[in-house]
Amino acid sequence: MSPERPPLPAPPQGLIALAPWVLAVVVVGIYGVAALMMTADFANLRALRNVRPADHAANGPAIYTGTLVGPADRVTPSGEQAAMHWSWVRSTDSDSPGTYCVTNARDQVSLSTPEGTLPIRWLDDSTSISVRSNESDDAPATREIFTGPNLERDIKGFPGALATCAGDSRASVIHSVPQGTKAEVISCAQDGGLELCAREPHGLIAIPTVKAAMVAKASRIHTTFRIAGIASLVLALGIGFLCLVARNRSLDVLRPRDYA
Amino acid sequence: MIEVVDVLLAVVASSVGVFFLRAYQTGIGMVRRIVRQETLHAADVKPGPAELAGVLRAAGEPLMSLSGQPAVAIKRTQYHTYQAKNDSDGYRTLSVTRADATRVELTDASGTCLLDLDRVLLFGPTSSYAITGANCKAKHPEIWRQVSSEHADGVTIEAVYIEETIIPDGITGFVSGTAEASDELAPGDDYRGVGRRLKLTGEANRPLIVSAYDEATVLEMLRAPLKRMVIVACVTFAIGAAAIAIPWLVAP
Repeated sequence: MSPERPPLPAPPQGLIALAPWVLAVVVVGIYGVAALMMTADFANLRALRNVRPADHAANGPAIYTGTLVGPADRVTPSGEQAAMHWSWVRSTDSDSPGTYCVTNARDQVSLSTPEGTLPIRWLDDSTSISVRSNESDDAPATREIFTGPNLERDIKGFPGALATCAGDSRASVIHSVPQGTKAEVISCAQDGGLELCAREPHGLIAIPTVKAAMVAKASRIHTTFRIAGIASLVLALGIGFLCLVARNRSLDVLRPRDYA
Repeated sequence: MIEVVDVLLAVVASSVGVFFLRAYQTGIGMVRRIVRQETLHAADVKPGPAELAGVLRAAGEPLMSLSGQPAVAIKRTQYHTYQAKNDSDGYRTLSVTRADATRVELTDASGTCLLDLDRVLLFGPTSSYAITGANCKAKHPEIWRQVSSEHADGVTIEAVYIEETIIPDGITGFVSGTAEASDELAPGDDYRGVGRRLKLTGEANRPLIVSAYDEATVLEMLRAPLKRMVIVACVTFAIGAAAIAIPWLVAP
């Protein structure tokens, strides 16, 4: 077998000459893509920064602080009392990930505040709610529940409605918010209840605080740019090294051997 | 919400930037030297830094480039591929750079100056060649000897790759170096050396620049790789700055 023919020793000078410019463009591109990916999160975070507590806010989104209360007879598939809950069966086989039998009970939830009980009406349409337990979840949505990671847990067996999807290489996951959980809700007050706001942030339940949700969102943006930074630096090192080799070769001080 | 990893990224990026800036600084001294130095006539050269422009001619027998063009100096970077007996894989050797030079004189309208081509930086036309082993053996026995001396018997040299930079004999070029008295006497002078000739030579940190191009082209050729260092340094500094700025900008 004949050996593979390598390219000529020196890369063409034109390519090396362009390399730093290509690096600059690619790095700007990497950060640009990261910024594009995070546009919604940026906007959401900026909107959250501007929201004031309900007693200080004018019209528009405000933060209502209290405890979450659901129907008294609400229980999770595993039989625990909860203000609201959602659960599903997930595949434990990494080769074929999937989610089955998604159930949720998030309607008729109110926020109990010192001033009175405020029904969270936008929760009643519970099919289009984005549930986030940490910063790696999906991008923000109009209706959002941020719970932090500690309210989500695996449970044994396939209780209640989850039994339909029982099987090997599957596990049940439950996300349960106990009655009386402290929360901050961003909403617009209307007719004695909390409705979705017309502008961002439209509706958010943050457990325990809006600040925690903001930290998680900032962390998500931050991580994306950190990855962009590391990738850019590795690229800069590689191209810089190539340029350095080319520079050293072009400035190679020689001592001719046949010259006396 | 700046974390340790952000500080680390900023520090590493800045360090890389400083490294490339240092690489720029080591080369820019040579550029400044040429820019500041006035180009003299051969007759006006005095001991010390000097720049000359004139015809570069071999004082003796010129060297022969691979293209057959006579040259006063040749820089060759070469590597080759080979195949060992009973081995299906091919290998390539590391590149080797070597330079050859003959005795050179620079002549202008005022006179002649010797060049001592030791510690030299060559700028001239560059050509690349890919020569089969058989061709190399037949047509370039000296290169073949160099290449084959690296191997024991039973090795087949498949191809030899050469990048050759030459200073053609008789070309009008540019040199920059340090003038000092040579051992040679000027024509017509006696052994007491009253009229010892000057030669242009290079030092360890100030190499003799010998170019087949004019001063402006040499400066451009020296600056181009340095500019690339600056661009890379700027990009890495920007990455470092972003590592600190972005957490600060997105802090809740």
